[in-house]
Amino acid sequence: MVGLSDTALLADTARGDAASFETLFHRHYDRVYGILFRLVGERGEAEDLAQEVFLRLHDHARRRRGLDDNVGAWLYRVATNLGYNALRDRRRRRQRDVALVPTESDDAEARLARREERRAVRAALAKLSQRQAQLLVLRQMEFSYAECAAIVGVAPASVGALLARAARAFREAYEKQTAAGQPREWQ
Amino acid sequence: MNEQEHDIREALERVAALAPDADEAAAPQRALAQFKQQTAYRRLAGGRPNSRSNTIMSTRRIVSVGLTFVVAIAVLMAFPSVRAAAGEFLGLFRVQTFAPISVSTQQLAMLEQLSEQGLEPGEFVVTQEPGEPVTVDSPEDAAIVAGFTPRTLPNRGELIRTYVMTGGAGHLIVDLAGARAIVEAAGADPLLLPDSLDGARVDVTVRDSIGQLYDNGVILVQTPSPDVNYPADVDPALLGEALLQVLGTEPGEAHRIAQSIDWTSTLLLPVPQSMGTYREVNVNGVSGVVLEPFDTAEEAALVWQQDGMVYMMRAGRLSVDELVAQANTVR
Repeated sequence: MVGLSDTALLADTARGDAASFETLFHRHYDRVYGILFRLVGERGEAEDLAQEVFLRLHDHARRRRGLDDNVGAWLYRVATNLGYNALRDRRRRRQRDVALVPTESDDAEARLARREERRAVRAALAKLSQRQAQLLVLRQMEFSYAECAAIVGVAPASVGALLARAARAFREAYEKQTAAGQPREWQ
Repeated sequence: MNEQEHDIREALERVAALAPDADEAAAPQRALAQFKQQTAYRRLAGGRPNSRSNTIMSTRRIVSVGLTFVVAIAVLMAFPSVRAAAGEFLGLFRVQTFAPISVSTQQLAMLEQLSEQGLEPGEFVVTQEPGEPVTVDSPEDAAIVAGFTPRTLPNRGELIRTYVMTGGAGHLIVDLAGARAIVEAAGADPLLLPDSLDGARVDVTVRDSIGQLYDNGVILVQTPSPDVNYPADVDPALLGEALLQVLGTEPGEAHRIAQSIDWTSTLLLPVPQSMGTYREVNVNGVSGVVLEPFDTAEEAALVWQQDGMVYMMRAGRLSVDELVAQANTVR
């Protein structure tokens, strides 16, 4: 079971094999959650969105009968889209003060510094295009160039140049944010 | 390491701050258990539970939001006149004519896939759910409930059932980035959607409708034209051009059609190529559209608009020619 390809597992899922779906779940959950956590910055919301991603995969398998040749790219693309939808919902609802990390801690100062750093990074990413921010998050999670290309929907050969532009844009935005001192993060 | 690599490395080190801490790490076993619970509940309930009740909608809902994009924009460009309301200038549309457009199966599948992948044109909030059909004793009783007197087919068959469906209402808050992503993914120019569309609120109100079933299987449904309010700075012709492209019309052709249509009075009627054909006909002196399905087990239908009312007739056991002939007797 473990050695089967994603496509084969999805096809088996379409035929009602729950174990195949569980294998897919375990294979991709960490990365799906990781993308969502980095986007929305809150554990509960990231977990809820991850559930939604896998519910969609489950429905997708039943409808398409496992015909996809890159299940991972599909999952991470859906995760990114749902993450951005959530951010835009948040912006629309003007929930600008969502805590990014739990406040109870023995190490309050370190927590505070980490929270501020996250806010600055998220604020800088918010200044980038969705594709640029997406590429930086994916690469930070050690997705390969080929994987990034499949998820974002660009030619693999262009990932390096796009990433370099994204990095430059990020640095400029980050420096502006930290100089301004009042980061306006992804929301 | 060259400068480019250095920039990338530095950026990725910064972005690493967003990685979950140990107490925020993924918990796949718990997540899978929760997933199983949800899918088991869905099997029992015969539907899909909402994992995020306020922000994530059911499959049906998500699909309908995708379609809402098509419908909302189609409806957006469907009506005439601009008027002042509550101190703001709002566009008010009312259906006057229908413009059918053939949509390929591939294009529809692509739009469905985009919706499934989470691309949404905005947040659609239903403020009043449309009601189920409620049988009443007569057209007169239906008129009391719905607030308008229905026209009937006076000389054709026996009226065996009259029903009323209460209307519904809702609004779409446009998310420009999502809407542009859909337009772009559909192969159209996303910049056809202007910046001013972001956050725009489009209100849709669908009125009560009255249905009448005759013993020859014909169903006549009628309803006052729906109301659609949208910001006055929205140019319906640009939205129309974008919609035509989303539905698969070539850019040049979409531009030409968009320029030739009076978007302030025309409602696009997408017809899936695989389902059937359409043609325009004359009904009581106005233009209507007959939809003829390829599947002979399905019934043909006719839609037209007259005097502020939208009519839809299903053929029952009639031929298409008989359907059109009967529609001309509606009084």
